[in-house]
Amino acid sequence: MRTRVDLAMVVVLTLATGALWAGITPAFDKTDEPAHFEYVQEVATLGHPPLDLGNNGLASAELGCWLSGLQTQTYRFYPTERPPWNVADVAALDHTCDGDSPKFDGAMYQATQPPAYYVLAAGAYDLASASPLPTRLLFVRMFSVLLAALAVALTYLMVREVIPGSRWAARAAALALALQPIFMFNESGVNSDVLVVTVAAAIAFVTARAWRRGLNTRHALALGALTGLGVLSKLNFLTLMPSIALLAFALWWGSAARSAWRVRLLSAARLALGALLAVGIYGLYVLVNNDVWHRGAAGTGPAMAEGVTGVGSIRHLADFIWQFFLPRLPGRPRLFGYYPFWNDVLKAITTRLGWWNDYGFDSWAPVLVVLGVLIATLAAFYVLPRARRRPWPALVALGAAALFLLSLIIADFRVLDAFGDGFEGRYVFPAMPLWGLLVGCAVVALPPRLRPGMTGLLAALFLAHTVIAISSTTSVFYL
Amino acid sequence: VSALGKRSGLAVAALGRQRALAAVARRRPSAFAVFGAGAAVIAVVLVILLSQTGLRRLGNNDTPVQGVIGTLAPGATGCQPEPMHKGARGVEIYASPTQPGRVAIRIKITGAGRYDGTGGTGGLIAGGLAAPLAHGAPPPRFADTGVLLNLCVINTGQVPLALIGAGTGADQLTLRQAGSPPTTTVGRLRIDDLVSGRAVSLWGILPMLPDRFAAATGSLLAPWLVVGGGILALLAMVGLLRGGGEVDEN
Repeated sequence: MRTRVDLAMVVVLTLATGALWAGITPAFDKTDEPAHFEYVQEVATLGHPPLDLGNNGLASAELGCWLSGLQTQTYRFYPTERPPWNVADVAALDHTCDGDSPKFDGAMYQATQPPAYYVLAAGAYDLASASPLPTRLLFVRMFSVLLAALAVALTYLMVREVIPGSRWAARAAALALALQPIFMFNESGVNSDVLVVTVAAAIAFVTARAWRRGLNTRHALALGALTGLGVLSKLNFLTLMPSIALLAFALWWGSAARSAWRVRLLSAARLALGALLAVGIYGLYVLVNNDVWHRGAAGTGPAMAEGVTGVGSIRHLADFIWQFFLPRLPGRPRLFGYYPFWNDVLKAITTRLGWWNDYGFDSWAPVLVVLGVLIATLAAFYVLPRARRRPWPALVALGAAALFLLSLIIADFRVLDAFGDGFEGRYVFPAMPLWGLLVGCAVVALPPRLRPGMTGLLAALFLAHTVIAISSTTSVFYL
Repeated sequence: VSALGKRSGLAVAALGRQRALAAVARRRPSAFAVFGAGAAVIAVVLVILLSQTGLRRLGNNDTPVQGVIGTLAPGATGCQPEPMHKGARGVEIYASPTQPGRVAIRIKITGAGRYDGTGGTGGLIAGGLAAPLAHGAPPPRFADTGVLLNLCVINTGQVPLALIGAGTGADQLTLRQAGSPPTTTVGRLRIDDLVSGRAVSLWGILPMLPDRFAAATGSLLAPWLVVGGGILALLAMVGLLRGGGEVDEN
């Protein structure tokens, strides 16, 4: 019963913080929001994903009218500017844009993405179809928040599976996610990253459950279906595939270590069935994408597919990975003018609000990042000694996270060479359930009588982080 | 009797242990108490931040900050048609002195009947120059109506001021100096309307925020999401932290 009450509180908390972030961020000021919203609008009004995969920067007449009327480009690029503050001006803009067509084929640079998130989000768009476009945008943002609430609830349940003896650990984990401002800023925007995060959280939960209770056919099929859905969410999901493979192997190995050959074979067969389901879902998508929508086999578009092939040598890649984390070795070429792991990962996910830190929130970096690293280190101090006694859960989780980060860096290396685009901190958010697990570990490392106090302290720290971020947002846009 | 005495002795010892445990339980910090203390610290910091004084904006004249559009010499006046926001009692003009020396401006409004007049002296602030208006906030028939007032900036200091704004094509700033014919600049001066010509706290701005959220997001739903979300989030945190202890249920 208490777990259900906790879950309800976790869902309400995430919905509430998400709603706050959805309502306080000016229209179309979430990362890449115009392009993602354009995709949703196309699915809702034309019934299919973009057939024109070119990035021509155009939008429907209605969306274009609102984008220029709200002057979104002006206040994003110039810190002296502010979004509209007068409701009457926006009412006049609504009158101006009324009657403009919402129908348009294209979604700028997001047109090549697979459609799962947009198909689901189109339901929220339709729900508000009679309202002005910005209200439709808010409805779609709230759909994203709903997915975020699901992700946080799944993280709570995952920590309950991994650390079954402590509810405080699971509560702290949920608080760590729901009150992480950069995470919630992204999770409350129109962006297919949100579905990737939810699917990753679901995979983490199913794996933890299968590990604790024994792998059965339902677990294997759920993992397969989730992997299939993940691939249809966003191309970034592909960077999670090595980690999912590691988790599946660990599940098989875990069952093999304590069972007879027959059971081992059965586990392998179940996992193969799950993999088959994932491949089947992807195959179906390729078929529909190619033969019905004529968007190319993989949906990535020929330009991108050609762009990322045959770049860089293995030695160059090794340098890239090394220098991502550590200072350059003597005699090797300098690939970065800064420390990417510190700047693009730790600092970015702790302090970087807006599209590229256009809030100037970075100035808070030292305090917040040090606090975050301190908590993570505390958690690691607990996880590692425990791992010596019960190696699997902790080592597999850390291994999966490391593989994910490595895949991201390799993908970044290839994309960087092909397009000159860089690594963005938000790409690591699918690993947020692991952050929750680390925080949970830090709580459960303490004697039971101190766990409530530690959870309360962490809650206050996380709340302070959110309050600072909300204050920064208010100051940038509303003062 | 001795058995009874022994039993009662055991009961007393058990009671003592229970009391000791209860005392320990009372001493250990609860999640809610620690969170409450932290939240109180956050609230105090917020109150301090909200009480900080500064110039508070009501809006601007839709002229982006793009570059220098002209120079206002000492003693010269620059005028342009200007929409005024409801409640504006001062303005901030985007300008900077071109050389060291005393910097001062005054603001004059003409063509608005009883609202006409020249305000007190203002001067340099962080972003430009600020000065009060003469007769308080503009009356309702002017504020937020789209009616343009003739607003003039008088350079009462000793150094020329570089005026910052954008080339707009209409309603440009006109410069006048004694002994010279009026000249028109290439664009409009950027002007922000202020709650007051002097520094005030943020408390007075708070009631304006819901409207600003609604305008910036383009939807009246936004302020409800922000305020309702904030309250619900706090309640949910309290609910989560006041939950029971470590009994394993799953």
